[in-house]
Amino acid sequence: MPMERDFDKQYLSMNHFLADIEGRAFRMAQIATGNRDDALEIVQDTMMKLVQKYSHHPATEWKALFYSILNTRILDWHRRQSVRNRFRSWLNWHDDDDESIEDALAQHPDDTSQTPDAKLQDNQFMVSLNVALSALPLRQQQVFLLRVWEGMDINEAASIMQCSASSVKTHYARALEKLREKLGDHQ
Amino acid sequence: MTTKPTMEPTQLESKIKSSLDASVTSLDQDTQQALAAIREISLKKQQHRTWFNFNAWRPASAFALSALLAILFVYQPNSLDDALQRVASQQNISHEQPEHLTMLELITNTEDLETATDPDFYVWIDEVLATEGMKNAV
Repeated sequence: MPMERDFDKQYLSMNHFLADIEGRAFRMAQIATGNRDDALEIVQDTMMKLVQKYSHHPATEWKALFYSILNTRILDWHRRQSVRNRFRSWLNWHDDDDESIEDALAQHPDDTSQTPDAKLQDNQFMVSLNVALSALPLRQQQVFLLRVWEGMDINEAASIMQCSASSVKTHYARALEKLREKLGDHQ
Repeated sequence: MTTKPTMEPTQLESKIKSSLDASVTSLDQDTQQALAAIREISLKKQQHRTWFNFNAWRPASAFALSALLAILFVYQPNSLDDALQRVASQQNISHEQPEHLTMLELITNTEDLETATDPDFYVWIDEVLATEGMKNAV
């Protein structure tokens, strides 16, 4: 039946798209939140919304829609955290066992396919990169990752971030400058 | 005074990109499985949504509507009344003879075919007509 064939085709396309993007999306969310579980939850929300609301859109639009949802979810997470932190400081809570901020080392995946020296260098760079990216203001972080990692041009990033092209340029330039300052000696 | 060696932006960008790519390919098993499970759950939502999607039901709805229109066109409710009027005029039965019209309606009603084929029914009609005839005579 043609309708079922269309559905199967769309199902496979969406599955392929999500399988391709899920790892990067998870890492972006993890860098933004510093927490694995929160990152997984954000990715799940993003996938659900994309599938439920936009799966009938052309496949060429999925990437922009996905990152638009992802960035909104990350922004929401930061807002909630901000309110929670304000509430905590207001009540003067001290949570020594707080697991929400993981050590940058814990974010770094284990790679066993390299020589010890190269692995050590890469580990050091990865740890420094995680720290540097996490320290960036959220908008700069998102713009930088979309431009460098996803290879999006200024207009695509502006559309996803719902801001002007000049804002994207500014965020990107500032992010790059900060990263260059922090990572410049990792050659 | 010593200066730190710094990378050019493009070199730095490519190093960051490759490092981030490596971090994805070497994600731990638990995370990879969690992501695959999340994807599967999300795709199930797509399946459910499609069955309730109007587009999926459009051909069936169009067929049902066409069938309904065809039935209404072939079996118009007034067509039975028209047939009754035609038979009544052929039999010279006027509206002033309501009992005759009632009988005719009973006979021509397709839903009461069982009644019309029952011999007792005709015996009963004769009796009714005879009684009505006597009343009219009086």
